[in-house]
Amino acid sequence: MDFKAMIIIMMSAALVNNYVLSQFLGICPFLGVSKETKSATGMSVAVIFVMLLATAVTWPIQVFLLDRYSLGFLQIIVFILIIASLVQFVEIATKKYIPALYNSLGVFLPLITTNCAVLAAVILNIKENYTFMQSMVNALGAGLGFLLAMVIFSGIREYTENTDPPESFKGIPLTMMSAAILSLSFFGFAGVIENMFG
Amino acid sequence: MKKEALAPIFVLSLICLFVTGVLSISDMVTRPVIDEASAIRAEEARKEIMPNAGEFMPIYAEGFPNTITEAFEAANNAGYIFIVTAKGYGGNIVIMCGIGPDGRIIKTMTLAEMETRGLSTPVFEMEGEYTGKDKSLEGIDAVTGATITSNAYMGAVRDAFAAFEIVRGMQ
Amino acid sequence: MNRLSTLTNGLVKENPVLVSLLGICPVLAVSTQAANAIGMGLATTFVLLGANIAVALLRNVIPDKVRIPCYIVLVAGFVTLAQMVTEAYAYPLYLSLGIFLPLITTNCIILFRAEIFAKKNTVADSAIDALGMGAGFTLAMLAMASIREILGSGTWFGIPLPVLADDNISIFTMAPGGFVIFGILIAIVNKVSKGKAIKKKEFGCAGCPSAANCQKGGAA
Repeated sequence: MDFKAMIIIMMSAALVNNYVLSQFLGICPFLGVSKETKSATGMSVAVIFVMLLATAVTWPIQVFLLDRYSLGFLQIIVFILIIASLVQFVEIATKKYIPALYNSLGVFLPLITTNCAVLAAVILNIKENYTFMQSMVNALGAGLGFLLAMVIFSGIREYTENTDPPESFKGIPLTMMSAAILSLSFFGFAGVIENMFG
Repeated sequence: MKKEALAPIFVLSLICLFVTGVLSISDMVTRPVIDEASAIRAEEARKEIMPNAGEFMPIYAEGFPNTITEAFEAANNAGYIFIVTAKGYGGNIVIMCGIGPDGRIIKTMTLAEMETRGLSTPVFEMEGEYTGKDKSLEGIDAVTGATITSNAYMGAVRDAFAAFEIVRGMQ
Repeated sequence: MNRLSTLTNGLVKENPVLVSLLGICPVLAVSTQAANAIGMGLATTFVLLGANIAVALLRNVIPDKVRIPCYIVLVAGFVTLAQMVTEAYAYPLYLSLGIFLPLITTNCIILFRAEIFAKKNTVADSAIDALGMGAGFTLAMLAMASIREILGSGTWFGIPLPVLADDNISIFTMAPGGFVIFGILIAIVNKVSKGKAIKKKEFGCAGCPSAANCQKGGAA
């Protein structure tokens, strides 16, 4: 087991090539995150869970079904249907067993289906020719990076709500500017990981 | 109750089957085109590294490092080409390394990479420095701020040399 | 709604990106070069067209309960088609679009238009709506990409420009630059329409018009 490679994959997905701030994946939920850190966290944990589950299902299907029978062209359809079904399953499961979580996440759960970060993660696993463990680690990193971005941003939102920008910048443009600065700050991680593992 | 549930599933399945059918036809049409274009690109890349080589013959050998995905021997003893896939920072780095019969690099060329823009770009821009080096890679240093990418690249070239030794030993 | 107004609707009044704020991921990601923006716009328009036509054709056949999975399969089918064709006949474009070509599947614009328009209109009208929305999307992408390419690389469609080619500000082609330029674009839209164009002040799917549909239980 090449642990160093796996850690690099995870750190890369979470920090330097952060899915949200660097690769522009999962922007919609990111920008719409509430100022409540609690629901931002809840949503992100759900995303991590779906990403991991989706990887666990899609990777074997790709390797043992799609590739074996030259059905590679069905990848997109199969993957998105798997994600949609998993989200449904997670929704039903949380509604039944953890109603408190279900209520706080509300409308965000079904939207994980159209969260491009999830589809991107499962497709990238295959494109990068990761092994099963590497894929899981990549999904975990991607999800954690998403969580990090969401939580930090929900904190930033609290601050920006109390500011007074020019009229046309109110609302979304201001959110964008904050995101830009956050994205810039993540550039710094490149050096950290380099020195830890290089 | 049962009939209610049956119709939607039936329609969904029908649509899935229909879409799958259309896509398989489309795949049958485009796959040959894609494969052919890909083969042409690969041939052109090899010619770019060794313009005077003539034909390239694929070679296989036991004991190649498992990062070597393809290997070719150039006709008229012009040398060998190795395609190496190494683990980089943001994904795989695929390079094509041409080594002459004298054991010196003719040229290296990057085929694919997903490294960090800006920081890792110097690693690929300094490809020219590899030309003429032998397997000690003397004079090639890692790029500051892109150690992982640099090491991956150098490791890939070293694997190419390892494969070269094996092939040379076979003759 | 007459045909012409359906077409221009997507271009200006209800521009999917600049007004409805949908499908932003590709707009931010694939807007580093104007040529890529056009390519992405074309691919997305193709999928939009196909999906709208298919949904409109089958609108009386698809049962309400399974409509979302059906739409998803249809959209994914068209995206796969677009991917195959691009890989075979436009390989450089295929490379530069990268992961975002398959990600057209999750582009909110497509599901949104299927749900809001194609489900209730004729095939012809839906096709025109798709063309209008696709054009609006491409326009927004082209605007973003042009600004980012000109300022960030000093070129436009690959052609180097006189002063800027030597003195470009490369941050604009990187992630933060994308956010900044998009924010400014939206601010401009706000200013020009005196705050009336963008009705939702919140992003994401709480503000997304089809949130109500998602709420009814996405795929059920």
